[in-house]
Parts: sequence; C-alpha cells; structure tokens
Amino acid sequence: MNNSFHIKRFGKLFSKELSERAPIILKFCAIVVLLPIALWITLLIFNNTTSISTSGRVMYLVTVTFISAVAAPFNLYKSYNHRKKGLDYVSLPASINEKFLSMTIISMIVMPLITFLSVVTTDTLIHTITPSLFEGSIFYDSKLSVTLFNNGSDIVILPAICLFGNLLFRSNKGLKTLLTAATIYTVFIMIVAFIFLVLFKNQIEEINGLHIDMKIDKLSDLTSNSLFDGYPGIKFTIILMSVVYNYIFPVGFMAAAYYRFKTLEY
Amino acid sequence: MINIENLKFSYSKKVVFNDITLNLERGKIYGLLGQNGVGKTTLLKLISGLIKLKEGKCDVLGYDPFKREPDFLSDIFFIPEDYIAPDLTVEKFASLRGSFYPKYDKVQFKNLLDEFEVDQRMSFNKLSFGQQKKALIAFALSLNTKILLMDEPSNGLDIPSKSQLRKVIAEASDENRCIIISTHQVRDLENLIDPIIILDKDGVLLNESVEKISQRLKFSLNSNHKESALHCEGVPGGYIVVEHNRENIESRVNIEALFNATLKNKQIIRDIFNK
Repeated sequence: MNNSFHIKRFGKLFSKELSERAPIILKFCAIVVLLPIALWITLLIFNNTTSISTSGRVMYLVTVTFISAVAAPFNLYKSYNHRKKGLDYVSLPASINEKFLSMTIISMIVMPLITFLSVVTTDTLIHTITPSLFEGSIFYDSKLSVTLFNNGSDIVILPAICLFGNLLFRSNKGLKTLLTAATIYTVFIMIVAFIFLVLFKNQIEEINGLHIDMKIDKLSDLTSNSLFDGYPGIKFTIILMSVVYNYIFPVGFMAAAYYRFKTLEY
Repeated sequence: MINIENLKFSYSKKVVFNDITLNLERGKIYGLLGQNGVGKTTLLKLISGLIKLKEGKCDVLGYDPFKREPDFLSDIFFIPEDYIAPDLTVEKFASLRGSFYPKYDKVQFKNLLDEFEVDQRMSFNKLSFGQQKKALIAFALSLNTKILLMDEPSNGLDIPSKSQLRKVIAEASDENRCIIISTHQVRDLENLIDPIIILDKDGVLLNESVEKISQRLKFSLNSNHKESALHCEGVPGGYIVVEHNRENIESRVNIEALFNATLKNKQIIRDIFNK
C-alpha cells in the first residue's frame, strides 16, 4: 500500500474518526438547536404573536455555524498533541496525509455542515408548523448567501488558525489561540496602517481632501473601489493586502498546522 | 530488526543518551533495565517514532521511525506505562483500531481478554487501571506486530495478573517477533526476559543473553559477606553474591543482583563481557 495516501485506508480512517466523534458533534448540534426550540416554545406558551425575523435567525445560523468551525478542533481533536492521550492517534497505521486530511474535513467541513443543517432543519420545521412565529425560510433568505459569500476567507482563516493552535499549544489551547490570532491581526493592521500613514502620507491626505464618503465594511470594499485607480501605489498595496489576507493567511496557517502535525513529538 | 548506532539524544539541556549503539534481533524478549531517568522510555519512544532522533542512526525494520509511515506503524506497537483510554467499549476500541493492522486476530483478542477476565462490553475508561492495562496488553498481543514495546507492563497488575502476563507474553513470543520490555519490576518478569539490556547515562552497560551472563558471572547465596565479590547484598538467609565466574560453574541469574552489580562495577562488567 502507498505510504503517502491510500484511498481505502483513508476511507477506513475517516469512518473511524467520524464514528468516534459523532457523539460530540451531535451533542453540540443538540445544544445549538435547543435555543430556537426554546424560543419557539416560549412564544407558544405565552401566546405571543411576535414574529422572529429571518435576518435574526440567519444571524444565529451563521454565528453558530462559525462557532462550530472554530471550536471543532478543540472539541474533536484536543488530545491529538497530548503526550499520553495522543499516542492512540499517532500510532494508528495511517499516513500523516490521511490523518491530517481526515482531521481537516471533520473539523472544517463536517462539523460546521452538520451544525448548519441541524439549525436549518429545526428552523424549517418550526416555520412549517407555525409560519406566523418563524416567518419566511432562512434557507432561501438572500442575507444568508450574502453573508456566506462575502466572508469567504473569514470562514477559512479563523478555523485554520484554530486548527493550528490546537496542534501548537498543549494547554489552554483556546485562550492561547485567541491571543495568537489577535496578535497576528493587530500586527497585520499595524503594518497596513504604517504603510498608508507613513509611506503614502501625501496621497492619503489628498484623498481626504476630496471629502468623499466611503463605506468600508470589509477588505473587498477597498479593492473594488475605483477611487484608488489614480493612486497606483495605494492600489497595489490594497491588492497585496487582500492577497495576503485572503490567500496567504489561510494557506499559511493550514501549512503550519500540517507541519506541526507532522513533527509533533510525544 | 532494530539497529541503533551512535545515538545521541537530549531534552533541551538534559543529555539522555550520549552515544548508544544497540542491535536488537527478532525472536527475543528483551528486558530493558535502568535507573529512573536513564532513558528507558525515551529509547522506546525513539524506536516507535514518537520522538525525533537528534543525532545518530535508528533503523527499525528498515524504516526511519519518525516518518511514521503506515507500513511501519502496522508492524510496531507501543504500550505506554500510563495509558489514558478513550470513551469507547473495549470491543469497539479494538475493532476500530484492529482493522488497520493486517495481522490483527479478533479471536485471539477475545481469548486474551477472557484469560485476563476483562469484559469487552465495558467502556474502556470505566475500567480500573489494571483492567485497562490488561485490555491494552491483550489488544497489543492480538495485533501480532513484528515489534512490541512495553513500558512497565506489570505496573498496576495484581498478583494473578502478573503470572498471566508472563504466560501470555511467553506464548506470544515467536521467532519473527521482537518484544522489548522496560521494567523496574524485574522479579515480575524473571524467567521471561532474555537477553537483558542494562542502560546507564553513559550508554549500554550490558546487552547479553541470560546464558552468557550465567557463563560469565556466578550468582550464589552465601552465609557470609564476601568482600572480594562484585556485589554482595543481604537477603533473608544470607547474602546474594555476584562474582566473576572463573570456574565455569553454572548458576541461576538473579536479575536484581545483576543490575546492582553492573551499576557498581561498570567497567569490570564491560571487561568481563568483552573478553
């Protein structure tokens, strides 16, 4: 058998990992679906006619799905780098590639997807039973697709950092990962601020003098803004920043997680 | 089977191995002895690929252990001293993991569990420490890997379990298998381990078969203390004396006395066995 990757062995590993982690995933899903159910029951008990808006429910769906992706490595693979508990995983006859891929798929796809589907199914059921209380289907809500597609890289970056943090730190994993992520973001913003405020000081003052209102919610608002077309230096920096944030960050963290995974000692 | 040459290893500033050379062969049950902190567990971890070699060579079945390739991992199993069991029944634990090992024998596992009186329907982490250890040993033996590494396997076992352990290990040993047992409880495994390896911070003090040890050293029970002996220790009924066996008198090797004699007379023991 191939020592790098063998599809049959991977399938066996994936089903083993999934069957062992299913109780944790289901427990998490049970908790996140309880909130809309509790809210619904409360509305029914108190005969409240207030309708819960789709936007609020979409917000809840996106938030819990994101939380599940971020928490997945800590919940499902917290023992992977434990000096004693980790032996069970590391000594299993499967390749590093198979183990890493299985961990990545379960943490970053399976758990968020099951969470997403659990909440959508629960919400749809409640909406079908009492359409007046849970108005409109969240699944077809335009806000959902907008939120998901506009934050594409954010959906990957934080879970990738968490995957890396879970393998890097042996204790207080969540806190240390959070601090690491905050430090990386702060340093990144400081570098960008330095570039704009020091290197492009004159151009920025010139843009400020134009008194144009700009709405910047996310990085793509900057890259797509034609205002910077006349300032090639700034435009280049914005594109570079976007490439670093959207591509280099997620790929870098995944690569770092893989390297750490491969070189873990027990 | 296991070829270690000029191995050097340290944990940050603490040097564990300065220069170790060892050659371990199939068909034997090695007893790995040494004082606390001398690096017995570290050696087992190096062989099983759990830690990375700093300097030297460690070839196990033709593989570099730290690469942790599946073909290598399916032929080696390490039983740690403390095992933290997952929240699964013993049966499920074994079936999920056993399928990755080509020579895993489910019937053998069941028989070993019966012998150890462990209920496979019980949750692994609900078993007592000794029961967990027995379940893990049963699983490890039923994998039929070429190399089996055991770190203090008799720790936490009750008296009947210790004799069961000796029996199952002896039964599991065959000409294609190499079993390495690191232990402080030499009495638990006496008559089982052969050859005997004694490790020290300076390296391998002894790596010899019991037969050769009994040819070169003489173990006797004397009524008087013998100053000229390599080692003399008081026991009920007299003194156990370890001497250079110049008269070729066969005697039964007392591993505990051998260990103490070796630590006290490192160079003399080396000279005796290097002749």
